[in-house]
Formats: sequence, structure tokens, C-alpha cells
Amino acid sequence: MLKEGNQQMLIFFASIIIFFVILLIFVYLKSQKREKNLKLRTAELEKFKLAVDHASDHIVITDANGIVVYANKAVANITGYAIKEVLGQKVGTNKLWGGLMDKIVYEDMWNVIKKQKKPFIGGIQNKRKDGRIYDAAVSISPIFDEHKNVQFFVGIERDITKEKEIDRAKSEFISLASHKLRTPLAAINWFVEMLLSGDAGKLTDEQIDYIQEINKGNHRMVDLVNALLNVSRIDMGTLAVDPQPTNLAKVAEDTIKDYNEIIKAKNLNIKTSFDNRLTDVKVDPKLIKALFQNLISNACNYSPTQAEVVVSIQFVKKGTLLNKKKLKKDFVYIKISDTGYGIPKHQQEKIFSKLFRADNVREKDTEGTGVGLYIVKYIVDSSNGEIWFNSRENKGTVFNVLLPYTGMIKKVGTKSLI
Amino acid sequence: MATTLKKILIAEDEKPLAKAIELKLRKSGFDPKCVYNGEDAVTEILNNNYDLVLLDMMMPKKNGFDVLKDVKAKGNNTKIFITSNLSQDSDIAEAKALGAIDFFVKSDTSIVELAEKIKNFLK
Repeated sequence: MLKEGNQQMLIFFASIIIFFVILLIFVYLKSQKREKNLKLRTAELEKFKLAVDHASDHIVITDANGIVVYANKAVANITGYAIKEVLGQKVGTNKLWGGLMDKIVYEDMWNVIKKQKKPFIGGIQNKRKDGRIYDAAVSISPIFDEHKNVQFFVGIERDITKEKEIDRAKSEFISLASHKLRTPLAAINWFVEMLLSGDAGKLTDEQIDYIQEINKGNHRMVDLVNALLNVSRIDMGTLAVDPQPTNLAKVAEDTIKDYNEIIKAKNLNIKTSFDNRLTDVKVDPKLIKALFQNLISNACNYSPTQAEVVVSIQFVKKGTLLNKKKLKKDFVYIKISDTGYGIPKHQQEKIFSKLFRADNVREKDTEGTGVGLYIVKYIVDSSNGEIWFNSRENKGTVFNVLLPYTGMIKKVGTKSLI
Repeated sequence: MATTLKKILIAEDEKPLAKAIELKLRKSGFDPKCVYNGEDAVTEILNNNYDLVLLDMMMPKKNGFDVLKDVKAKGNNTKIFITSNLSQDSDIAEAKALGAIDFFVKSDTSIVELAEKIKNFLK
């Protein structure tokens, strides 16, 4: 028989041993779980790596200085450079696929991703190893450490050369078809004119009425064909921009005169306000005329009788607060407002798209082509300007345009607007 | 005594347009003749004394620019108006530099106005 003291000692040691055994089992189970988790995570990572490695888009990871630390298989497929040739090189230079665009494009890109620390999304042209050029849709995102410092960049590129070619072929088709349509339209126009001027004998009033309808339809077709030609020129990038010192107030006044007929017919109240500090601005006279034509004709066409249309051109200094922003340089501020039909709220976001016409005006006027504001937006964007509007249905619309006071940027091209 | 009608050559490959101009000019008291390609235009201009030529630019066999060059090279001073659907400033400037007197974009020009311009020019 054990003494009571020894018995207690035994229980004590047995408890300690049991405790340690339980602890061991617990630790073992825990480590098993951790190992399982680790295996799972490794498998998941492996899955992601496989996905990135075999993605059809070109994916590159660089360090904060743009030195390539990872490139997937698509990089080799798209650019023709072997992955080992790419690793350790700086992206965006002519040692690899970059360096083809203007220096300013790369500077802008670096500015966005490195200084502004924002993703860059855009379209650029690159060069394959064999020298062939391809179009790429690019997205570059900075990845930060815990102190918000850029740790690396992830660049994803998609080869969109084929899409671009299809788009170009489509634009070329529209351009060719429109051009071909102009000849039969001119023939219809001339024969209609000759009929109306009595060349084929005197017409009855009813005959004149019918022929005038043909004439109107034909003129509308000419307008549409010209609009399509203009859009195809914009889309193909063949439109030239040729800035000349231009008196904007005079262009606006001349444009208002062009619409005298409708202004008188609708008894519109036209007001103008031109800043006398404005000197000639270097803009393409044809493009600025098209801008005024579209905005002023919209204001006149889409307003009821006795509506008010105000055309204002002001000089605004750098630092002025406009459209909730402080202007970074001097601008010309063109404002064209009307008390007309307005643009329905649910359709406002579509108004700058090609061939779009708002429901409320389609009922009132069937003549519009739906490309005017698309052209205006192109003119403003290509001038590094800004356009915005406020509109309320049945109250009116205000279009605001800012053009840099330094004028438009010259662009060599083979075509001008019709 | 009947006065001789002024002779006008219409060089235009699009036959409906050529026909429209021919009819209009005949109605307006001229003696028009049509040719439908650039080579025939050069031959006609060099071998006949036309009072005026209406010349299209995009024609088969020889385009309008080459017609202008050939005629100029032979020292022929026949007066030429361009009637074309080319409407670029550069085309207009080039045609005028090659000796064309005026340039009309067909799809933007009224045939009544064109006939009036010709009448005034040949007065």
C-alpha cells in the first residue's frame, strides 16, 4: 500500500503527464491544420500563378523603377522577346517593345502611376522584336507597401491590332460608301433643280409640291452623307487641324447669320456677349465654325418660338473657379444657352455619342443627323479643351466649352471637315 | 445672221451628271459636248477651240490634274473650270496652281448657279 503522500504525488505527476500529452496532441493537431492550410494556400497561389502565366493578355510586374521582375508567357507570344531577354530590362524603352510613342506619352504615363499613384489606362503602339508594330490596350497599376510607397507595378496589355484593323476597315467602308453616294445625290439634285426651274416645261402646283418633297429628302440625304464622311474622317484619324489666328466673335456672329431664316421664322431672341479683351485665337477656322454651327443650330432648332438663345465668349484667367475646378491656365470660355426643349435626364449621358438623338427632339424635328455633338466633342477634346452642359427638359440647355487660350494643336492630316 | 454658240466641253465620267450639265447648258444657249475620260478630254481640248471646259478630277484613263498638266505643257490656254467632288483645300489649291480658273464641288453646287456663273464668265 502506498502511503497517502505518495499517492497524491503519483496523481500529481500523472496529471502533469496527461496535461503534456494533451498539449502535445493539441500542438500536433494545430501544426497539422497549419500545414494543411499552408498546402491549400500554396495550391491556391500555384493556381493564380498558373492563371497569370498562361493568361492570353501580356502581364508584366516591374519594381518601382520599371525594371521587369516577372513576365508571363503571353509577353513572349505578343512581343516576340524571350522571357529571359525581358527580365531585368526597363519597360517603356526601345530595348524592349516600347519607346515608339512620343516621349510625352511615357512621361504622362509615369506621372500618373508614379507621382499621382493612380492606375494608367490607355491605348498605345508598341513594336515587336521583329519590328512589326502592334496596337495595345494598356492598364498599369501601382502596388503599394504598408507605407503607401510604390512597391511594384503590374502592367497588363492586350494586343488589339486586329480590332483596330476591323475598326479602320469599317471607317474606310463608310468613307468610301459615303463618297460614292455623293455622285448620284448630285445627279438627283441637279435634275430636280432643272425640273423646278422649268427646263422640262411648266409644272403644275401639285407637281412642284411633289418635286419639292423629293428635293428636301435629297438635301437631307446629302447632309447625312456629309455627316458620315466627317465622322469617318474623325474615326480614321485623317482629319487635319490647321490653327490660324481667328476672331471667334466674328465666327459666332457669321454663324448666327447663317441661321437667320429659322431665327426669324421662330421669332427667337438672340443675344450675344463677347469679351472685348479677347484677341485672335489660334484655332482651325473650319473646326471652330463647325463647333459654333452645331451648338447654335441645336439651340435654334430645339427651342420653341420666342425662345431666348444667348451666345457668349469670354476670356477666363488661370485660377478662375469654373465647373467646380480651378483653371490651370488661361482659357476662352464659350457659352451657348437656350430656353428650349432641353435634354431628358435619362438620356443626358448619351448625347456625345455617334448618331444619338434624344427622344423629345426626334418627335419635333426629323432633320438632325445625330453626329453634331460627337463632332463638337472631338473638336474640344483634340484641342485639350473641355465641354459640359446643364439641361432641364422644357426649361433649356446651356453648353459650356473651354478652349485653351494658346489655341488648338496642329495636326497633320489628309482631310478636313465637309 | 445666226450667231455661233459658245462651245463648252464637259469632261465627266459620271454619265447622269454629264447629261444634266449638257441639258442645262443647251437650255442656257451654249453648244456643249461631253467626253467621259481624261484622255479624250486632252485630245478634245488640244484639237478644238473650246470657249470653256468643265473638268471633273476623278476620271478614268487620266485624272483631272494630269489633264491640266498636259494641256498646260502644250501651251494651250483654254479656260478650265473644275467640277469635282473633291473638296479639300489642297485639291482646290493644286488645281488652281495648274491653271484652273474656278473650282466647284458638285454636291454643294446648284446647277442653276453653275449655269449662271458660266453665262457671266462667257459674256
